[in-house]
Amino acid sequence: MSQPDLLTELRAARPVAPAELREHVRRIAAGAAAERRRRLTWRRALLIAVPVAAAIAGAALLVPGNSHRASAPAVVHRAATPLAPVVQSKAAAGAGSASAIPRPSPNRVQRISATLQLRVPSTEAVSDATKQAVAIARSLGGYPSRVNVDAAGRSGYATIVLRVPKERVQQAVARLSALGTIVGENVAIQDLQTQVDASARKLKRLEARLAYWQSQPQTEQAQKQVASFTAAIAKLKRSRAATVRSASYSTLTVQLTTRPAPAIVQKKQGPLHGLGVAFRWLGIGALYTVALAGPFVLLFVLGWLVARTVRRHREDALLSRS
Amino acid sequence: MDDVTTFAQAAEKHLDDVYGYLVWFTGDRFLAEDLAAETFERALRLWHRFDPRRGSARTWLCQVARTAALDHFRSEKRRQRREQLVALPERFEERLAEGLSPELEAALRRLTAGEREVIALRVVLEFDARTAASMLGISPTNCTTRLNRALGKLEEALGVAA
Repeated sequence: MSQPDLLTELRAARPVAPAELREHVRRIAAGAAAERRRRLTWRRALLIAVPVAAAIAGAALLVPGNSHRASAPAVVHRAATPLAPVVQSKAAAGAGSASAIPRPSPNRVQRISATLQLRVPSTEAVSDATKQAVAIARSLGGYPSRVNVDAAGRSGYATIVLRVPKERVQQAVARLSALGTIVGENVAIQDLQTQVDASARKLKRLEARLAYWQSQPQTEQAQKQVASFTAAIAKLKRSRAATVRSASYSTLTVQLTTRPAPAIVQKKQGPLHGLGVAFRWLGIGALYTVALAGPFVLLFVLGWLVARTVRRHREDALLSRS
Repeated sequence: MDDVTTFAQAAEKHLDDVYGYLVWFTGDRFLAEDLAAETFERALRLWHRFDPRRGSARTWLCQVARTAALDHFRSEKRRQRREQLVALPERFEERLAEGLSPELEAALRRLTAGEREVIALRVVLEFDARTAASMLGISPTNCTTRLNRALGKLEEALGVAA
């Protein structure tokens, strides 16, 4: 027998399935048709999920308004931090001058402070506006607390701190706002009435104690107590008077500058800009994922390789029997 | 690639191939019948995973048959170990296939299951080296080497002149 004969004999001896087995397999196949139902495989799920996710992402990125949020005007400057304000408001350029300042309550002790940031066209205008601001404060019964002007260079700058009676603060702000273009405004109102009321109650208690010790025989101890209470009452009265006095004037800080307002960066962004941003963030996310999951994936791959090698060795051993 | 589109078509068309493969692989026609039935039951459950672009239904069914046979071998080995049986499992010495000479059949029975398997795939079912290697989980070169070794053993046993 030659090798081709051997191969021919092997091919010719191809076993044929017995009729019972064929019948059995046909029954299995017939059951398949009855059982046929639509299965949601991960591929089908992915086929649906990916376009839906892409559509949602696209819609979210291309909806007008999202891009405007990123380029909000950068012309609002915050003034100095107000003293624990009860009411604090800020206004940007173009806002109504007096609208940001509520009418002060005549029956309550309130500390009002406001900051106005104004842009003027030239250094000369800085000087003029400074003079006018001081004049406005004086005309309303107020006074300048601090004036700092720098109009020597190409760009001028001035900070004027004014004290204006609180009942005229709205009027003052309205007039000061007319000195230039408003680029920022910050108003803070701190209610001090509770503090003043507490001082009044404490004063009453101290006065009652003082009256008691004054009515007692004036021993050395009684005299010490009278002196102590008298001093405490005087101190408290001074403190309360200072609080009320300081609250009767509002503090207005006017900042004048010749510097143009920072240009609002309005880059021409194409319709795919949002998509680019999304891809950038996706890239960052992918980088983090790779960095964090990399070692685990490596361990998994190594484990899989070892398992596969072991499985093959076992398989070979299994198949080495006749 | 074949043109079967349903499980019933695939089962009808490739039953003989699957059965033949299992007969050669196991060396036992009765066991091959049982395993063939189990193969098609498994294949029915897994049919939704079959992708015609990745291979023919015949290849896929033979892979399912191989897994079923290997599972059987493993469970048989465990059973033997449990029962501390050294002897091979009881087997009816039924003819392996019709048309084989007694000498060739005896020589085939002396081969290992792995050697019979590679002959079944490459010679009897005529799979190409790449497909057979893929089914066995080895390289095509290794597959060819394994086939040559198996044929060499047969030739030696039969005194075949090259």
